[in-house]
Amino acid sequence: MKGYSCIIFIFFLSLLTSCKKEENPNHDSEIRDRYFNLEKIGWKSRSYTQVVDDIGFTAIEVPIQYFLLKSQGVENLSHIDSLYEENKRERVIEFVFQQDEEKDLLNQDFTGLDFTNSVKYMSFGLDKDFYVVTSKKDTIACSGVNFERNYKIAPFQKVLLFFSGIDPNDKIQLIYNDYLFKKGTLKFKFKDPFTPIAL
Amino acid sequence: MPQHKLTTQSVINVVLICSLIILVFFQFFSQDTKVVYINSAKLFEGFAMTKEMKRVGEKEFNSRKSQLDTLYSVLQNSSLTSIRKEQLMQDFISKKQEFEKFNQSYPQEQTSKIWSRIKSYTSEFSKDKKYKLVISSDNLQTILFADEKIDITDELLTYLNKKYEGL
Repeated sequence: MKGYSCIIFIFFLSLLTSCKKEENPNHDSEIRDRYFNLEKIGWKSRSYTQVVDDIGFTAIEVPIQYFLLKSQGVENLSHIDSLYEENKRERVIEFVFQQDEEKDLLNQDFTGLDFTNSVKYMSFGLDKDFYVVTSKKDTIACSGVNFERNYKIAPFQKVLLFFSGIDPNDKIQLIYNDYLFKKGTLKFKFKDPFTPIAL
Repeated sequence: MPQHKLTTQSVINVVLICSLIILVFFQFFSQDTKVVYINSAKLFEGFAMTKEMKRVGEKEFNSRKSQLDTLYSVLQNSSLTSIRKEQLMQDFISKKQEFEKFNQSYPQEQTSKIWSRIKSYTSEFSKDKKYKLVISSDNLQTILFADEKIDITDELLTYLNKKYEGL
């Protein structure tokens, strides 16, 4: 009787271990392929420009994998992919202001504010001027802005805008109520730079 | 025989040169006649930005007006002390002035912003379509005659609205 119980126990144990899910040895290469395709399309290819008078406003939707790869490197792609999975409901939009003749847009002539206040507005007040509308007509407020100061070296002003809680497959429209240069409301929709072919 | 061959060749050459001249001539004139006109009132009214700014303005107008009405009804209350009444009256006067200022400045500011946007988009549109001149008219005094074929108001309006929506 004791022998039977032992056999049943061993059989049960072997049954349990045999049901273990086989790990996919090609997991890393699958991620590599996915990221390679993203790179091939162009990290910053989903862009839209609105020109009003002499100022160009360009919004670029940058995949968050771009920033993850930039900060973490390409050595451990599984780690990057897990970070992406954690943060996939976040969106980052690069927003560039540029004057036609490459003049400094933070001058009083353009903003009506002195240089210091213009910089302050760009750094701390700009997030209130942006929001995103999803395809389900949900309105998502901008959760943060990072103003990349270039100290008059580059002929443009660039900010990074952050939005949270958006479905990763959702198509969004960015709305900017321009109170700084007083050009009114500007809207940006991001089109796919490629046409998917059904095979 | 060689003389006959020469004549045929010359005829072909002449025909080719003539067709080339005609082609260049038509090309030159077709580029020059790219003059179109638009009905500016229709364009302005139909532009999505105008409609949006109108909605925003009306909302703001109604909000400020209801604030003034509330303040006015409070002022009518006879149980108020004279000091409190004076304070409320000052508040009412300043709010009324702000309201009047808003009523005057808002349409002017928005109209100038809207026209500035229409000009920017029209410039891009004209470059795409290779128009040399786009004439804007909202009455029949500026343009005495224009063929309907060169009226591009609807086409431009569609472009403006798409561009405004970021499409």
